Amino acid sequence: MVGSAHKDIDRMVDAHGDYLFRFAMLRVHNQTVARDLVQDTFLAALKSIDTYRGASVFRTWLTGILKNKIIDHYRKSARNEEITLSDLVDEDDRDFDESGHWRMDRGPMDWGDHPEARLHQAEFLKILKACLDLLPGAVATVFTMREMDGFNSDEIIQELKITASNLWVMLHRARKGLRKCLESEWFGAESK
Amino acid sequence: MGTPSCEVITHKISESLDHPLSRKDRLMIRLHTYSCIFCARYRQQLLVLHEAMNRYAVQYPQTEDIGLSEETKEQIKEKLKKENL
Repeated sequence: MVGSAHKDIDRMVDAHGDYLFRFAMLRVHNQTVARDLVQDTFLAALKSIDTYRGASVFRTWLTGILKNKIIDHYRKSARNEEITLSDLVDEDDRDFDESGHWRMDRGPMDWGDHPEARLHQAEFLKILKACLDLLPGAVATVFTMREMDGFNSDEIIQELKITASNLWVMLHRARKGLRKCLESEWFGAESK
Repeated sequence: MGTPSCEVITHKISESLDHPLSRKDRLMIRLHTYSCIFCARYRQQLLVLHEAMNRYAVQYPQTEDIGLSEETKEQIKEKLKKENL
């Protein structure tokens, strides 16, 4: 009995461990945290295995548990980190002149006619990941919740207990930083 | 009403992706991007970024070369077996 349960555990970890780890890494950008989230997910799955009805694919069911663990993690990190001033203020902002207009040499470059056609390239995903890793913690968290997990603004405000205007500022900062990073590392790199 | 700066417009463009803007703000963005190539590009490029994030979210979990090490898997298995007694 124990032997077969042990085999089931081995099989579950071998079959789904890597997938769940990547799902978590994509959102928390930290190997140790992602590993712990995966382990907690398996533990929770074992405890509630009786509630798995087989109606959904087993991996989908596990992913659902992991999603909840990730939201708990978002909440905790928002509480611990607080939203600091540096998450809200872009100190190194020389893109605009004193009147708030783009400096001629720092305005967005032309990305070509069909920039979206190059998004599926494997190399592009690596660059995007590197750019995401540069975002400050809380900024990365809200941007991931919004763009990858598809939370709407009200949900993020409630989950993380932040104000709407702080949320807009952080999302703006994330997009601004990513746009610039992609331009210098990818879209603009070729036309230079 | 003074002409809004590019700094304000870029902020509003980002906001427009997260919640419905007022009519006044929408009009402000449209008028501004009509005559400002940088802000027009900025808007286009945020949409490309949005599309990129969607693809990334789908493709990343399929990437074979990122995963748990064998050692980590064994540690997790041990932990699960211990807890599951």
